[in-house]
Amino acid sequence: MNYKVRSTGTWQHTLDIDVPADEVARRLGDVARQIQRQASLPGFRRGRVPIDLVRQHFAHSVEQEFLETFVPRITSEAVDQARLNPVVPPLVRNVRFSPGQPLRFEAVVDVRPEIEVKDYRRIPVRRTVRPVDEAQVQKVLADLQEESAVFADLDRPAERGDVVLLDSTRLDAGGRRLQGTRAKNRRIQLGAPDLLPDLENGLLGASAGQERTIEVGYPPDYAVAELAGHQARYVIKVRKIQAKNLREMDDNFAREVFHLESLEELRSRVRLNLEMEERVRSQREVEAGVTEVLLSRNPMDLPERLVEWMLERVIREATGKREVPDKLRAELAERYRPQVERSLKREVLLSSVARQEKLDVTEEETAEEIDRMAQAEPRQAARVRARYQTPEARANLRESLLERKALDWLINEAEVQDDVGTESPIVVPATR
Amino acid sequence: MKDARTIVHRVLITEKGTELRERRNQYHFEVARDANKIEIKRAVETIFSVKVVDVRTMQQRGKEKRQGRFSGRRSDWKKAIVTLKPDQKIELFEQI
Repeated sequence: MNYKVRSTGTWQHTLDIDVPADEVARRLGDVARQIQRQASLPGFRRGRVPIDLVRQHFAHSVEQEFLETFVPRITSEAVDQARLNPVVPPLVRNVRFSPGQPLRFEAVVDVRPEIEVKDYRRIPVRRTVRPVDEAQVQKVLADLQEESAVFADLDRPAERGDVVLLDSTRLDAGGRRLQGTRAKNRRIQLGAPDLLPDLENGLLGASAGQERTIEVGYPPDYAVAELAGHQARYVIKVRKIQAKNLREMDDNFAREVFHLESLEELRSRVRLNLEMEERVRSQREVEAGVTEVLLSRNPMDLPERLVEWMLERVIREATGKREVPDKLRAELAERYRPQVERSLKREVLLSSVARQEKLDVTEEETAEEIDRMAQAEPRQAARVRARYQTPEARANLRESLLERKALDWLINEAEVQDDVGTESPIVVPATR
Repeated sequence: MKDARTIVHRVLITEKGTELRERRNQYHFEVARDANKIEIKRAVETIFSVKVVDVRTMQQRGKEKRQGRFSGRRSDWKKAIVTLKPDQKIELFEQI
């Protein structure tokens, strides 16, 4: 096998591969012998057809099989010998093949972009710092109190402030029950600020065991698009009328609901959680900031086929096993393209930074990470370990650890400026 | 004289035939039922331009075949095994 490499684009090479006729003939013979084992013709028992008959009668399968198995193998040999590192499977095209002639084809190989990253030290980023205050803790405690309320049955018609426990089914225009709209054991608190007025009026005065049909008008901005701005009729069956009793906010509350020693302990747990969330959030913010600056300072072209390939994967992930019509596929590709390009560029930049700064991930670090993941999910531990048995899986993990390391390095080097703010949280775009 | 093509109907290509061809330079044919060895010899010689040394013939009974509840028979036929001079051969697969 001979090959020539020519550059056909940024991060793209094309290999012109040709295989001498005698090698082609030899390989064709191998394939024919394989097919012979399975072949059957009238007059012959299976596997006993003479080789020249096989080549005559199964010429098409022989050639097909030859191209399917041999061409990819030759391609990967050539790619290896040329010391190329394809990021997507090579594309084989212009295959010229006729028996007795040398086999010629082109393989398009897209390689991982290797760029010199500029200006990546001392990246300025702003970090908003929002210390956890007492009001936030109080708010969480109030929510917990609300969630752990106890309900006591009442033996009277429903009044404002009561809770109605009911089953409901939506009706269609003709008064028939709509399939799949049945809801059981819903609790509705009369007098709650966000309760629809029609619903409240329809339930006032109801008593346990009653069945009612009520009509509810939904505002145009209602969260469920199907119902927004429409009238809907429901048949409801009232199970119970209940009083909602909040627990006292005291040590008993902490003991009974959360199995903690005291209210003070609950309070400090809540504070700790909030502080943890805040740390994660500000970490994300810094990561996003650093990535943003890095991307804007280092514009680059990506191999088109890499983007296409990644888009294909993202779309498949998003749509699962369903068939995707071409039109929808194009729309999805349009929608996901910016994110995909961004994350690919980020990957390239981070691994280049790692190379330039001579960062490395050792085999021990990889093993540690696997241990950590296994311990995080003790029940899945065996499966987690099994997943990283193959060299490719370990290499992938290593790659992502290296990116992580590069990002940490950048953040360490970055000039972080803290903004102390108490305003409502800014939505930070996820870094991936 | 009858046309050679009405005497020799087709070459038989089978596992057994392949074996005999390789070992003894013998070829199998399906031939007309009323053809005799001399006619077969002449017909093979004209069609394939070869020299025939020996012809052996045999009557083959048609197989019984059923299609569901209907049973029938394939026609009886005549098989000829023709031996060629050692240095000669018939290109069976010249249609390649």
